[in-house]
Amino acid sequence: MDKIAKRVQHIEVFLGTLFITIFFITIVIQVFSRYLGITVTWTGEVATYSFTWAVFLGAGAMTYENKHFAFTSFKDKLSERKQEVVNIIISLIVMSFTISIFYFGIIITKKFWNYQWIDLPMMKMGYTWLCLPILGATTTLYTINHLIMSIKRLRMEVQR
Amino acid sequence: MTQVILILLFIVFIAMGVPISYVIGIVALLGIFLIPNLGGIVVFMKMFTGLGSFVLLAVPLFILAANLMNHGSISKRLIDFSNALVGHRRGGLAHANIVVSMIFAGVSGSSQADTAGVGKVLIPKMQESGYDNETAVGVTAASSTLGSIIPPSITMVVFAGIANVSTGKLFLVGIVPGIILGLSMMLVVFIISKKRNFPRYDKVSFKDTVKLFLSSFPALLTPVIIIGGIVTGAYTATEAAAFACVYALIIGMFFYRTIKPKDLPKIIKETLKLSSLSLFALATANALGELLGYYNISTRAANFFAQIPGGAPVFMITVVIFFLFIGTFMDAVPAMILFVPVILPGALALGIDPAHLGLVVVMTLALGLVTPPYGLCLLIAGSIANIDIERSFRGVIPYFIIAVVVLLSVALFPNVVMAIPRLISPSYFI
Repeated sequence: MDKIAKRVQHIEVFLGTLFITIFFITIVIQVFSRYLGITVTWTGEVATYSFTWAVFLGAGAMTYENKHFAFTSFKDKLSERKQEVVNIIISLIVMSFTISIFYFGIIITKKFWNYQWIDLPMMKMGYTWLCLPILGATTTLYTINHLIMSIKRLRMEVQR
Repeated sequence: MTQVILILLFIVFIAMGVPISYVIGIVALLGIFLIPNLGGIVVFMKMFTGLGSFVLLAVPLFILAANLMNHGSISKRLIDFSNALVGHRRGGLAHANIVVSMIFAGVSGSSQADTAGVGKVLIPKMQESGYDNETAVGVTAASSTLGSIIPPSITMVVFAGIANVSTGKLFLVGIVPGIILGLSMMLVVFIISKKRNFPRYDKVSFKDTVKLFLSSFPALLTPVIIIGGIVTGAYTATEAAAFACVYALIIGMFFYRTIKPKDLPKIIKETLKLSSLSLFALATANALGELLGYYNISTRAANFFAQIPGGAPVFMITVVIFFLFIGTFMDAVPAMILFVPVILPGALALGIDPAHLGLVVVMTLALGLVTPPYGLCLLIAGSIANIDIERSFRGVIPYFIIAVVVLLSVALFPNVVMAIPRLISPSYFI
């Protein structure tokens, strides 16, 4: 399971890096074209949507690494066994939200699939909203992975 | 009753250690579910559209600029130059530590980047020169808080995004208090150095100082480009951040030649990871903002604060105490996301300039970076010196006290703080 999650995270980081590069290049084009007096209308939407994709992909990848901001002072004071029990509960709480992101993400993507971008009408809005169900799917996978690992560690603690 | 349950859930989840961005999202989802005729779909649409604000695009760009600067050994050059300027005074390295933090603050926008970049070089150097570990860590951690106050500042960009304030105005009001805070810390170093007889370096010759100045000149030009451009209105914060990235890339690759094309994927990957943490929390907070709107929390908060006796000064002191407490266990970005929407209506009701509020909140939360148990700069500096958090904080205390004095002065005398910015750019204060 961890191998699959790790591979998915690698792909997610790669795509996130790609989107943030697109975002960066587009912003640079936007800034310089403004100073050169050239009208480039498409940069605004490309920059915003690639930024959104990058943030959601990055947030997904950080869920795998367990790096999201959290207040752990109380948890850190517990014994290792109790910490694992809390970790299991945390994974279940997080999973309730990641499954919701996936479920509602699909509904939203379907709803807006055929809407068009304003400055690039050949682009469908569905592509932009697709990052939501992807975030939901990957974070659910990572959370299941965390859950399994916590259960394994708890079993080892109990056997000790 | 619903609201009480939601608040309780929120507190319990946070205390358990559930990631804050997820707690915000879950509470928003539950709250929206409980409102008739509203579906959970609203939460996720708000999360998505919350990232559409143009000013937020500056966050990953400033992080990228800081990463490029750190990779390009720019911090090392700035340290050498600062050392040449003040290293000959008693406690010269501690003075240089603060000077370089002030310059670095104008380059990077991130306190953590400052602690890591400057600390890695200066803490071992201070230890070798005979400074005790507490002083080495204390000066490094405390002075790196300037990174959040002197513009550009990522936390200011986030505040501007939450409170809908001009980033340029916030940057402008941060310059003078940031410099005063830096100078106050140097005063503390001056007093401690005399008492403990800290070492001093030989005076660097004028010729060598000029050489070091020329070598670090491209880096020193960065704050001028960024702050100058934003404050004069030549470009927006996002555009300035893009300029800073391109500039850092050019000087790193072609002038200092310390960045190679093969380093770029790693630098961009680090930027992605760091920026997505704050921005994802902002996205979920946007959904929570929708819930707060349905429950009319802003108006209630405004009415509550308007009734507090003592008006604006008491309100500001309350804000300082509250955020000092929050900052001890929470990072600046999530703390602002959670609480700025609640206090902002109160500040507006009391006639407080949102930029002044932003400055006070940012300064207070910057101090949270050096207070245990969760003070990121303190932890980073302590780990470089290999000392525990108690000893690290002992080193920070003198600088923390002077910083609180400066902070309270800034909070209580808005007209003094705003005087210079008002002179420089009156259009922001109309």
